[in-house]
Amino acid sequence: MSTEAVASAPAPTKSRFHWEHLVGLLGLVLLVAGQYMGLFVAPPERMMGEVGRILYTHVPAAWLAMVAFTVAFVTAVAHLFTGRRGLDWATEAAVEVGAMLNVLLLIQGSIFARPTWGVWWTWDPRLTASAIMLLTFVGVLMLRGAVRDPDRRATWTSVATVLAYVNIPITYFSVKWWRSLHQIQSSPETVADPMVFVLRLNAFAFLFIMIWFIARRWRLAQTLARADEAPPLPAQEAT
Amino acid sequence: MTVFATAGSGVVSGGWEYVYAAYGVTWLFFVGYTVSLIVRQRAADAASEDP
Amino acid sequence: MTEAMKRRLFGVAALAVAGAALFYVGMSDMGDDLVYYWTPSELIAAAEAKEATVRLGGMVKPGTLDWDRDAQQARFTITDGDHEVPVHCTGNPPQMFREGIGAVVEGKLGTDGVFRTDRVMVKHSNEYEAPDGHPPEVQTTLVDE
Repeated sequence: MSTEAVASAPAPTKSRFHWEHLVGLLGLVLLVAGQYMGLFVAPPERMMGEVGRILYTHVPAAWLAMVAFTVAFVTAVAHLFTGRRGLDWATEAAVEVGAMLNVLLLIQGSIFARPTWGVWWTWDPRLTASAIMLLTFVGVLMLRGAVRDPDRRATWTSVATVLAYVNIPITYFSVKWWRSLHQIQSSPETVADPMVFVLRLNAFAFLFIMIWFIARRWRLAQTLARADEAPPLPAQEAT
Repeated sequence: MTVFATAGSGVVSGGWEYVYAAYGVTWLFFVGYTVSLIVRQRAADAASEDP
Repeated sequence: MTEAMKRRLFGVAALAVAGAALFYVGMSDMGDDLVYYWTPSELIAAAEAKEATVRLGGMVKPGTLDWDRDAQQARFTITDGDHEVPVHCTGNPPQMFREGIGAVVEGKLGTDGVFRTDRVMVKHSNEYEAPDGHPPEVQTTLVDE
């Protein structure tokens, strides 16, 4: 703005407005409303009492972890068939965000399990599958970190992501395929109406925040890749 | 402890500390990941500007 | 072979392997061998289950719960509709524990036919109701799987 700034302006401005900030802002507003309603407006659950409120923050984390991994699966397959570098960055971004949500999911679940089921953890099929899901995608990120060449790194990441994605349907159906302590999926028929609304509000909040996270993480991957691949710059004039 | 007051009724009494812990960890993760994105982006921008 | 062709081949192969793995897990009878808990019928039928640490799951039979909170002892019967196993629990079960709810207990079936446990887990149904909603119903979903 000031003449000083113009005079000493070193680089093209980085503060361009990005579309994802609108989505992120919407997500933040919905999250504040959704979490407030989950804590103070929604009724307590008949048997779980106040503890039942954990549902509104636990279930969206589970859904959106799976959505993030699904985004990663789609971009991984698309990268393998098109070779576009941007899709590889998207896979990296979505896997990292999915893994972050997966860790959150396991911690929330543990906090939910103690006062309801009576234990912090048990090796039931759903819990075991969720833990394996996290470990495999952390494995994808570690594999990615170990490969130096960008093209091979992109191919290997994509292949590993496609293979790791098998975990998502297994985790989702684990409560139906095997005997578990974790209840099967709830539906609007099994959840009281005021609870369904609060759950949906939080789910959309998580969705928009996840989109913001993935978009920002994608831009970070882009910045790093460009810095990595740019040819050595000619020596700049000393200032 | 009020834990045993309603034991056998099948209804959980109290437990707000679990509720706040679960919501708190949600915000902790979201804020923490946001901070990590900003810090990493700044470092990457700085690194790509002065080679 | 060009790099692009190689990459696409990897893509097809990865999808095929992932699909086959999923098909195998979904279609195989892994569930019959890997069980998180035994039903009373299975536990009674399996002689080798005696004195081994296993999980037993079923419904807490209404009218069988005898819970001494001060002594931290609870006795109840786990049923799957066909068979039932008497359970002796040391320590207090979780707050959600009641008659008619699903439960999974970890412990050993003694030679006297009593299952001894110090770890009781409550299986909640997938129903979430406000306090003024329907009254609690006897849970049957755990029994017929």
